[in-house]
Amino acid sequence: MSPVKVLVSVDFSNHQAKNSSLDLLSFAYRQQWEVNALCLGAHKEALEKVKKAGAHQIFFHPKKTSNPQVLASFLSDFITQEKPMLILASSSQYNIELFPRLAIRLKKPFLSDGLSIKQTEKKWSIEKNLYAGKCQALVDIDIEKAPLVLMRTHQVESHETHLSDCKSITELNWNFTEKENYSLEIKQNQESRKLDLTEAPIIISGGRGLQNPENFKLLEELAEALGPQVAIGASRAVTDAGWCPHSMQVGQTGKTVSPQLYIAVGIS
Amino acid sequence: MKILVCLKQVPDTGTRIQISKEKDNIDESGIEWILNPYDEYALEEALQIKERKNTGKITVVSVGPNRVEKTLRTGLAMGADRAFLLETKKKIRDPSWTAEILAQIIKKENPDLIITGQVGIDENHSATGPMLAEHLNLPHVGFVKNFKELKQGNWLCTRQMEAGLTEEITIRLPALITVTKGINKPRYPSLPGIMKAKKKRLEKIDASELSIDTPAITFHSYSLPKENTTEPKILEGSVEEQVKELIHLLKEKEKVI
Repeated sequence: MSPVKVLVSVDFSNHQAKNSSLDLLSFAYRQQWEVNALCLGAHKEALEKVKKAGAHQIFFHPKKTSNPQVLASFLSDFITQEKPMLILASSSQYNIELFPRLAIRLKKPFLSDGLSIKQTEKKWSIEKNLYAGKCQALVDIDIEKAPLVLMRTHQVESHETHLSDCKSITELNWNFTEKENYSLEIKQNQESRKLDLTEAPIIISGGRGLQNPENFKLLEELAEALGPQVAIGASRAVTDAGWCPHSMQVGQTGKTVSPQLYIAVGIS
Repeated sequence: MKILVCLKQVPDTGTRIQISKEKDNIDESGIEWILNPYDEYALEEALQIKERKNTGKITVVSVGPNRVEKTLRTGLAMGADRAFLLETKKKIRDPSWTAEILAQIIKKENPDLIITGQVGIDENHSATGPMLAEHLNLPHVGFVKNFKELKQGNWLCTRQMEAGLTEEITIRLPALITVTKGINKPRYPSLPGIMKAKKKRLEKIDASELSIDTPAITFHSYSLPKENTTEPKILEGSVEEQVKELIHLLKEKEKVI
């Protein structure tokens, strides 16, 4: 039986492949799938890491349009042509905007926030949390249905270097024509050094027990001491009280996180 | 301006989840149902737009079993003008299926603006909004935390993306947005609002009469999280000793720092 062809869509941030995507590539390689990597917004130099993480074939384009409607139309043609049996990416905000649209265009099943994925003989079996982890359930999808699955970060083992046997690197010849009814005007990246909560391997969260917003400084000091892999979160009580922006909230009505170390300070 | 808001009924965040005997669903008997918090922001945003413009019509739509009527009444009590319930016999957890059903009704309604919550806190799919936009061939912006009218049907969406990135996107109606926490403070239904809601139009449509494929996604083998059997460790001694021990455990034993 020839290996199953899988397309992993790789996220780039500041022209670097994100670790969560490299983890998925490495995971797919270990499953002995035929790993195709789709790299949008990537320069050629940035593809080295993608190769080492296990891609057998790379498709890249230096630009990425911000409009998910436009991007979905290009991607759907590409996928129709390449015919992967699974499209895999991480549950990042941009992917959450794009892949549901793409699934409708392709008439393929879609699932996000997956915890694990396995291939049995004729099916993909995907595990997912429901009700913020209060229960779990499985979904089976026929292999031929070729679903689009977004995975939660840190659910598969961290990527490692595989013996590179990358067969080809293809630059996609795409010309995005932007639509009149959608334009990205301003992009501000004030806190670019900050790691997102959903990506960070270490999270320090503060709650009401910190007594006042100023005391969040203590958490920042601790984060500084622990290194660059740390993000600071907050409980619902303190974001509701206006101590922190809502983007810092961890939990069912905030962000779904999956760190390796979670330090809760002043949270009961 | 015609605004349509999609509402979802979800278990209260505090509800204890139990599994059915067949393990093919949760046991719904003890569940307290609420309006999905993100959809509350969606409806509140619609209400505020209507109030600012002093004109407009807000329709709320939901898909699900009969119990969902209560959630739609909550929407009407908050101030929506009319409601549609696309009634299904049982709970469906496939966002593609839900989006297709919603699209059939919304096409007929032809709204200027569709607002949904960014995510349903039950299944955490975050998919129905973007899928609906694709069905209706509309542009969409997700995760909106500020929505402001510019001119000539153009609206400015501000949103916070990963790693501290702020984006401003101008979108021209008709369009769909999904909103996130922090965009507004949803109102509570007032007593007169609740009284009025009883008389407002709530139309039920049997979803099985719409020509939709069977859902591609069905969940099975429901299980509760495994009980954590590792004993919590409480460190003792002076602060200095405790810190030393903690660092040692995190570094050498757990290998997480």
